[in-house]
Amino acid sequence: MIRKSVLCLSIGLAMAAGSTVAQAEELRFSWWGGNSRHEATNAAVDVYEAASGNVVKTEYTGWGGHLERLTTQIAGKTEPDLMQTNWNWLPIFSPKGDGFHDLRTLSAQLDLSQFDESALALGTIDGKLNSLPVSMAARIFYFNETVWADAGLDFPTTWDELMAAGPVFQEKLGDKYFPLVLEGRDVIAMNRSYMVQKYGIPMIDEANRTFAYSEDQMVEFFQLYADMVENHVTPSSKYIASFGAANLYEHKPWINGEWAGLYMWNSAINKYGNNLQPPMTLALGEYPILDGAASSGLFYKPGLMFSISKNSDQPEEAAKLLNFLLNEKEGIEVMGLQRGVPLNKYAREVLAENGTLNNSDLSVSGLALINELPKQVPTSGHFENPQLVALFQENIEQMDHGQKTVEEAAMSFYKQGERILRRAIKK
Amino acid sequence: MYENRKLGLAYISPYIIGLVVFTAFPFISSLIISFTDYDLISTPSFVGVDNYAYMLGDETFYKSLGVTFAYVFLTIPLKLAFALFIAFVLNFKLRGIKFFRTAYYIPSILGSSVAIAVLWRAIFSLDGLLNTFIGYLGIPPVAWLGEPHFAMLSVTLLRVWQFGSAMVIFLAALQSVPQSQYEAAMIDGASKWHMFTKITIPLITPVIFFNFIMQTTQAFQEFTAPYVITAGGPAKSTYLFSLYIYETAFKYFDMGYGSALAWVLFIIVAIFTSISFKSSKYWVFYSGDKGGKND
Repeated sequence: MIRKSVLCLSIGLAMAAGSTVAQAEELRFSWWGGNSRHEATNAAVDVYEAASGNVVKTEYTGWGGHLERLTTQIAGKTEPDLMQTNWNWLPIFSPKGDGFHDLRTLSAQLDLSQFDESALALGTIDGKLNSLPVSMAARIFYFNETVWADAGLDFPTTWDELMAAGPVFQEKLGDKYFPLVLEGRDVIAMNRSYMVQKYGIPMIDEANRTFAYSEDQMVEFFQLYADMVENHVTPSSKYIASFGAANLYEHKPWINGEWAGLYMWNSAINKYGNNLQPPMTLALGEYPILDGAASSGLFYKPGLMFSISKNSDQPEEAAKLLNFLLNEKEGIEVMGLQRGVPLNKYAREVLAENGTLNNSDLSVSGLALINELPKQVPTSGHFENPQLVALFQENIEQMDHGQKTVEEAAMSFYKQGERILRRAIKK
Repeated sequence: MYENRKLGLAYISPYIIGLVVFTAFPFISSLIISFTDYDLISTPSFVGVDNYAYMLGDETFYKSLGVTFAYVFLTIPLKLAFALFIAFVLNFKLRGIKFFRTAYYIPSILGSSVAIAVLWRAIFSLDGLLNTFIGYLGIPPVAWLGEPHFAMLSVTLLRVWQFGSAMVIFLAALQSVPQSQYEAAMIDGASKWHMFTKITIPLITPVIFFNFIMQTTQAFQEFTAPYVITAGGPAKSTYLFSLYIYETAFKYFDMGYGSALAWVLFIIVAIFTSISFKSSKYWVFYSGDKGGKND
């Protein structure tokens, strides 16, 4: 009896062990995104599996929580073989360039000839190609055409016109309608752009590990948001919070057009457009530039990147899959513009030929606009520091709830933000 | 005999291994990490009690602690009172009572799942079910999730609604109260209310105490509901301690400070529980007691 039990137990354990060995041969591939990206990527992976006979396990989520999940995996050395990564994660995971597999060592599987060296430089640390940028992106304005027409307004071309649109929306369409909707991370990027145009300086002074603004400028930064809420240009954080914690594009007021504009990544715009209730449509707005500004202050960066795990047992296989997605005709066609307009020259040719790459796509027309705008003041990689963005969100919420004045919020952000920057920007 | 012990150990080995790997190891390592500066990726560096010292001046720490206590003191009495009340009602011998016992337990089966929290968000959202319903009564919509005090209430109600497990335990306790005592009281002319407060309550105090401890330790660790429904907002009004720990450790990559926060929570729960235990001898009556304080 006892022998039998022990035998059963060991057989069970052996079977369990056997199944983990079988799984180890799968290639794991993770990314974040919206539904359309999930569908396209899964479809591309299916094609790859059929062609190569390999098995790929896909792990995909929305943006929220993805970094936390990946961090835990990387800390435990259980990250997927192939990962979609973000530009500002490089200083976190690979400050010295040895956090990911050097993609240049995989040249037999991964063709880099279709990428400009300047693009590759964005993913290179200490001469090692940690991440391969797929596309470039920036935050720009998009508006709900239908609702703006209902309000009887043309899209704004200056900051003043944007500010003036709020009262018109309120009067013509009602209290629930706003020309724009901004969450904390949108506000911080938009206000930074305005400040670059006005003063010609970035927000973060990396060399001194602090803010580049004076205290008065920080107050102005917060005042700009307060004015936008006051003028009914954007719903307050308090109002947005009353719909619960969810992605903006899933909120009903976005879907039904009450929130009629965005300051959003051109590469992410289609998931917002797709969620609008037909027949409403989204259109590209002009980018407002102050008179005499030398730079637009665009937050311009690689839209997203791909990295291969340094702990992967099969980096060559991961590189083959990546090559299929970025360099091979079939992969390129299935992926389309789901990760923005490709930096890869051959991919652009393929997509232009089959008609995917045309200006009717909002991410494409957005990129054309971005390429025309002056971008002299680059954005620090620490600008998107999650703790800094959360601190900003917290302070504007406290302003919206009347717990802090504009000055108090600005000073509290300044003080605590400096500590965050000192910790994040390693000497 | 010895053979049996080996087999016994083999049978419980999954639990022992689980305990060591998933509880004991993280428990000890978090204590060590709490004395370091560790970003999950680079090697941890020892910083002594810096993390604990920083906590003393940390606004968010106090805010989050206050929110957590408010949550616990709101949830526990409501939940226990509700569970006891429903258990009391379900203890009557009525037709179809088994159906109701099951029905009231269902919310608890759903547990602390994300799906339920998403449902809750849909109910309490500004354009949600609740506002639609009160709209029919002519009441203007309320920003349940947008106003700090309402947001806390909305999150609390989710856990109060899941009173099933406490209720089942109460129900078992109520059924163990000897009928003879009620009969004796009835002969003496006691009212229903007197019987409830003078017989039922004293006899089930051990179970009330048990439920109180279980629910309190759980409430101190609540995470899913505020994370999914409000993400800790608005203006940190539902930013429970567990959320602060999670964000510090996994969003801001400050494992050292996150671990220190976790240990402070552990100590607070331990103190709270031991105070409860100390107080219990004044109000919990075990069978065989003469009642009141043990001599």
